[in-house]
Order: sequence, then C-alpha cells, then structure tokens
Amino acid sequence: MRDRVIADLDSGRANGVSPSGTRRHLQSSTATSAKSSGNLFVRRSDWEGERKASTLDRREFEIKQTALLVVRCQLGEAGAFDQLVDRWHPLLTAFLARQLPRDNVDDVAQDVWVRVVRSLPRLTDPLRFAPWFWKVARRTIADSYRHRGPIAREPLVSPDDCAVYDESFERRQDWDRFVSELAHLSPELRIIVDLFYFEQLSIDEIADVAGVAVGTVKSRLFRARAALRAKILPLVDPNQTKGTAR
Amino acid sequence: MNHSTVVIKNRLSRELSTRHRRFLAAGLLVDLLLITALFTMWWTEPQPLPADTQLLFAALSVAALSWAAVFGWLLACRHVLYVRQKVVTTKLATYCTAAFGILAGTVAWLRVGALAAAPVIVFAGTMFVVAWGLYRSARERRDDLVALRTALEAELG
Repeated sequence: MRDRVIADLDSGRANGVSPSGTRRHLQSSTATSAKSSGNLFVRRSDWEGERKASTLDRREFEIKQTALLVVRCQLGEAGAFDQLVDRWHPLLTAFLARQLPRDNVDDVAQDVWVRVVRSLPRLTDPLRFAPWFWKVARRTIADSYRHRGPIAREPLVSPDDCAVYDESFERRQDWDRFVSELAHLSPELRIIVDLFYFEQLSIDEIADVAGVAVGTVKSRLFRARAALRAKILPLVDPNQTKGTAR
Repeated sequence: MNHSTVVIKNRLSRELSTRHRRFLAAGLLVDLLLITALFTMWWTEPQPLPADTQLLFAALSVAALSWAAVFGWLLACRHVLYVRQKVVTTKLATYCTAAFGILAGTVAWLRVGALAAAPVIVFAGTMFVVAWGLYRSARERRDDLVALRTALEAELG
C-alpha cells in the first residue's frame, strides 16, 4: 500500500503531500473512526479504498511527468532545469525545514541542487528520480551536519517555513503540534517518518535513500510511530493514552 | 515564484553555463592534441637528445598531463556534460584524434621509419579508439533518452 496518512489529530482531518505536491485529504468520518480505534497512523487506502486506484494512477502520472522532465534535463535542455526547480524546490525546502534549523535551509537547498545538477547525467533510470533526489538531499544534510559543526538539535521549523503547510493541515494548531513532536524525534527517525509519510516512498526506497537495511527502516518507523503516538494521542483524546500502530 | 526559487535558478544558471562547458571541452581537446604532438616529437627524435632537453620534454609532458587531468575532472565532476553536449564533444574529439593521429603517424614514419614510429601510431590509435568509443556510447545514451522521451510524451499526451 502506498498511501499514508500523517496523523489523525483532534480536527479529525490531516493531510500529507506527495512528492509532486498532490494534496491528500482525509474524510472526517473515517478519520474519526480511526481515532476512536486508537490508530493514530492509518493508511489512506484503508479508509479511502475506492479512491486508491485513481490515486495510484495520479501518482504514476506524476512520476512519469517528472521522468519526462528529468530526461529533458539529461539531454541538456536548459529550460527543463527551470521546470524541475519549479516543481521540486518547494518540496525540497519543506523537507529541509522539517529536518534542519531554519537558518540552514537555504544553504543546504542550494547545495542539494548543485549536487543534483552535477550528478543528474549519472541517473540511469529517470523513473526513479524521487528516491535518488531524496538520497542526494539526505547526504547533503549529513554533510551539513559534519561541515557546519553542531547545530540546534531541534529544527526551528514553523508552518510558514513549509510549503506543504497551508493546504495540508486544516488547522494551524494541528500542524504546529505534529511538527513540534516530529522535531523531537532523533534525526534518523525523523527522516524515515518524513520520507514515509510526506514523500510517500516505499520501505525499499527509504532503505535505499537512508542507506540502511529494510528491517532497520521498519523498526525505526515503528519506534517513531510509537514515540509520536505517545506524545500526540493524549492530546487528541485524553482518555486514550495507548493505541496500536499499523 | 518565491525568492528562494529565483536564487536557486540563478545559482544553477551559472552551474549550467554552456560557455563554460565549451571552454573546458575545447581546453581538454587541445591539451590532448598537445600531448600527442609532444610525445610524437619526443619519441621520433632520430638522435639521442641532451639531458636538459629530455628534462624539458618531461616537464612539458607532466604539465600537459596535469592540465588534462584538471579539465577531465572538471568535466566529470563539476561542469558535467549533458548527453547532447557529450555527443558533440566526442564527435569533435573523434575527428580531431583521427586527423591528428594520421598526421603524427605519417611524420613519425617519415622521420624514423615504421618500426620506430610504432609507439606513436599505437598511441594515436588508442586515442582515436577511446574517442570513438565515447562517441558511440554518448550516441547510444542520447538515442535511449530520446526514445524514452518520445514514449513518455506519447503516454502523457
């Protein structure tokens, strides 16, 4: 299953954003039932099955659109790079804002794009651009940690820093709560959660991006869900302090 | 388009400067031809050269090889050539190495005879084969990408 939901907060509605910017909306009724069953993290297709096929089609369509842009870039069409930046830069800055302090985001974003431009000719399968792109971003983040010395442990992210914010969470306070709890995760857990829920990568793709085994991704995801659930669920439903992650 | 996107595009436009790539590709090509000429002259000298002249040839060879390494590194890692640029560059390299190889081989043959000219001919031949191989590979990659682009365009409408 490819579709995910980030968190079901007290609004009964939450969204994620796909790599190409597709908005995901939860239906209030299903979200409420998920909340009542204690499942903070539910896959969208679990409760929105009838829309799964069309969503997958859309995702495939977006992957192919991006692949077409990448092919044009690899051929050396100058205009294609501008389009690639228009399409992916907001997603990159949102991703970085969730991973790094605000002051570092622009510098690291520039580094990521320079690396992408320099390495793009070596990308053999344009259809796999997304995991490759996030891998470049992850490595650049790791280098920024190494080269720029110790930085604030928690990202100074605010909703305004994230291009995904405005439409992805119905209420600002839900987003604030989710992001603030996400920021308390360790960097290795945070990036896994980000790639899984926000960037919609598969477990295999995340393992490739993060450079760890598939089992490690699964265990980190489990730990991250447990940590977030323990923090967020009592706020959503004070009577329910425990839930089950799927 | 926000400020950040504009900044990135400006930064990338410098990174993607075609002029810069042409300069580097031309520099690499000229340097490789210079190396060929240098080795041709050195190896086809009929009489043993004085020690200081040999030292000068060696110094020039090291300098030319170093420049080739710098240009090669810049083109491989910093200002990489995209497929169409690679096709043009390698095609040019193939023509140049062929012409220069024939010239160097002929000069060497006339100066020192066939046997003594063998290293020069082998070196020029190797340069030509490498350039031709790179050209073939670049063309195949370009054809693959064009086919993929056509397929994707047809699929996406």
